[in-house]
Amino acid sequence: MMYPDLSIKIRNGIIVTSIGIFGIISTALLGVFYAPGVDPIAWNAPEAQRIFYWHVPFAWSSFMAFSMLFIGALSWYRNRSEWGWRWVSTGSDLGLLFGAGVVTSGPIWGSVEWGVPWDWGDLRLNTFALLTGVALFLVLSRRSQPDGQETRDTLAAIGLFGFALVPITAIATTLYQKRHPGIVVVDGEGAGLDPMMRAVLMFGTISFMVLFIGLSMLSDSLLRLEDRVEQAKRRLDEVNQ
Amino acid sequence: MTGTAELILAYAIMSAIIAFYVNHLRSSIVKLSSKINEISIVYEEE
Repeated sequence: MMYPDLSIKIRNGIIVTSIGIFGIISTALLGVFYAPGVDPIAWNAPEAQRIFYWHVPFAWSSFMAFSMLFIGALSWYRNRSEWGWRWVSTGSDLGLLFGAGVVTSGPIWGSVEWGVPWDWGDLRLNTFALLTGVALFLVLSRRSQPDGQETRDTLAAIGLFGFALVPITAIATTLYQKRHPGIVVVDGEGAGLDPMMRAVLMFGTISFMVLFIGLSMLSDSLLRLEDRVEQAKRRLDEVNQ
Repeated sequence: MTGTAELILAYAIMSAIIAFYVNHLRSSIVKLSSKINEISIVYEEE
């Protein structure tokens, strides 16, 4: 007996996720085969630059996930709301997912373009790695600690403080640019993008947003399902006693 | 050196991360749905 409300939510989540996956695959194909290349003289590895059609939307999606985590943590503290905790759980999962994509693809690109995979003196790289580390800590803690109000309070507090790194990471390249390039979609000296490249990047960003929404719907449904299994088990135990 | 190998490697890793999470969601939902079915069958029998 599957719950009808959850069945509909899962089905919708699958549809939205599938659209998102179709969109991001199209973005990769457009980025690799259609978007214009960069100046091969100015860039050390012009083909590797095409990584950015996924690298940048991955980073933006991770910021959305950390914002979700922050809103969820606030709601948990204000009202002890179940949806708030589900947002903390989903936000940390998706923050880790998209953060891991950024911190693996970035060094691969950096190693061939900059000659080094990581720069320990670059503010954006290090604050972003720390942010992904916070998400990893939250995901592992949620899986290893018994679920209860104390655990939720502690993890929500870490999520709240971890969010402070989001604006620092987001504006790091504006305030303190060392190795990582600045914000590419904002017009300005050295920051403008070719219109075709911008169009592919925007298409990728929208596709990743759709994927993000689909995955959030599925993750939320999974957490509701876990709750209902626990409730059903408790009811069964009461009947048996 | 144009970075083609790195381009393929980066896309492969990012795809694998997404595929891993989608599969985790799918298998967890399937597992929990069948668990709810099992519980409801036992509940109805008792």
